[in-house]
Amino acid sequence: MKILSLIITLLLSWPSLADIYIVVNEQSQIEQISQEQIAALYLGRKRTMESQKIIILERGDQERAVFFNRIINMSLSQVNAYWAKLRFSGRVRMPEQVATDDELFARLKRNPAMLGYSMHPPTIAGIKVILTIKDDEK
Amino acid sequence: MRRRTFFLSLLFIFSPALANEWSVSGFGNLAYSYEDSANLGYLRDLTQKAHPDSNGSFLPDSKLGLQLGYQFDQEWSATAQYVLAERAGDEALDGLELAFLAYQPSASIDIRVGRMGYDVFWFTDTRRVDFGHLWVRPPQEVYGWVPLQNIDGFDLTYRFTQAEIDWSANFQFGATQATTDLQQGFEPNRFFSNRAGVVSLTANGMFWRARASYAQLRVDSQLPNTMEQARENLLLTSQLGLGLVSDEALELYDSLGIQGAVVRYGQLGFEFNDGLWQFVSELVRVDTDREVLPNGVGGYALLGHRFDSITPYIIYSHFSPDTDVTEKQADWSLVPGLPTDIVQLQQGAIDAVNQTIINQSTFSLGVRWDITAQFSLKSQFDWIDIEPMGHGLWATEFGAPREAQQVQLFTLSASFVF
Repeated sequence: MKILSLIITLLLSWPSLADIYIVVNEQSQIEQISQEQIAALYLGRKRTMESQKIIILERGDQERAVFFNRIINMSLSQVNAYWAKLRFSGRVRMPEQVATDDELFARLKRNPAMLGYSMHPPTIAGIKVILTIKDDEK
Repeated sequence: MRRRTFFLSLLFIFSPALANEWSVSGFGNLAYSYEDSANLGYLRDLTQKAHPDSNGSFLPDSKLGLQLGYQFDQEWSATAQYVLAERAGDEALDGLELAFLAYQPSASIDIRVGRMGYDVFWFTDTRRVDFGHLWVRPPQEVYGWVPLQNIDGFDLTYRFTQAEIDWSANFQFGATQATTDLQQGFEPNRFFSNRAGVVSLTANGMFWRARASYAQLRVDSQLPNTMEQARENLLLTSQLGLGLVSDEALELYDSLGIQGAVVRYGQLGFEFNDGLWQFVSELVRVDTDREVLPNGVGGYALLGHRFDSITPYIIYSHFSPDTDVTEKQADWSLVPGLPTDIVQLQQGAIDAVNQTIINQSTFSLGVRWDITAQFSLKSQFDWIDIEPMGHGLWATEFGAPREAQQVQLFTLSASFVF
């Protein structure tokens, strides 16, 4: 019974089954964003939203794999290949990476121009969700 | 006290806060290429050393690149990239692909000054980053004959959104150079231009991109000394008043002169990638008024489909020259009083003009296997049809017969980024 509970817990907590929350500082002018705009921001094709400069924050490989698969159907290898062309042409800088949700939320609270994503809804004040990408959308 | 200051300085320099401002990354490729031609040597592009007798080699497609970046603040940064690869040029700075200072005054404007990738066609500034591409190498018929890798000057990019499409417009201007080496036994040719410019416009949709560009440069270099001496002799022959012989000598003299030539490049490209299907195609044109430089139309189309970590693909690429094959117009041996080696001068000049003609097509079948998120294995078979006198992308012996030929090229490649 314990093993079954553990398996269910693991399955429920596995990121690929989770919703993805696009989060910004509560002071940000952005109230909503489309999946297409998120893809453009995270593929280095876009840097502004509503004339406001956006600084995107990246996550670790596990979260990145789920995120890119969900928003644009690309594998992590494909995303790395895509970014290799941007980075080694010297045209676009790699986004800064944050390791944990706590670090992500702390960075967002300090800078209203930043945008990030999490597999969990924000649990602290001062952060708002501007898009939820449901797992059942794919 | 002095020692303490020194250690405090070291601590400051290597403190985590500052370490975030530096970035070190790189890419590489270990590849073996084998072609079945006895008299042609495979070249990934014209900047590599000519080995006509070589059949299999690690040299053409293997490389290692290291990139160092420093972020001063949100607006200013600096980047340098050095690539170790097979090159005809032997100067240390030939491997310096990037060395620029970048300024981003707003989210929509990028300004770079220094050495940057030359943005002639879509992938000219990432042609060495094999991990970034599905193919083993960029199609030779489009990327093999553009030897210019980078530009020393400035680069301006403007990004904007119009009709829900993200656009970027780019302008580059500066000096560019490359060393080419087509014929074994001849000294490599240092080709340079002090006035090279490119304008391009790229549109980005969710799953697609399109790009158009125009580039122009004025050639400021000459051919190697041996060729320039031959040109002098052609000029002397043209001034002897020998009728058809002098006329032909003058034509050959003009054909072999590249200094002052204006070269124009045009490009249209389209890419679709929805994560499963990938399609990339470019159509390019190069136009000059000198027969010894590439002239013509090239293009390719790639189609691939991803099955989890494995992506098979096919490519068809082609280049057609606008330049006619130069033929002998008069029998110079019949003119009395001319030195006996005048016939060799005529034939050597004709061979030199014809040696750069490119007329070939390639059908490629390949597969990419992404073993990890940063390491992939690729293999590619190329079936290449070379038309008579169209061997301009291959290392040859000078004056060797240039008949129609079919070449098969097989490449196994491991590429990675870090």
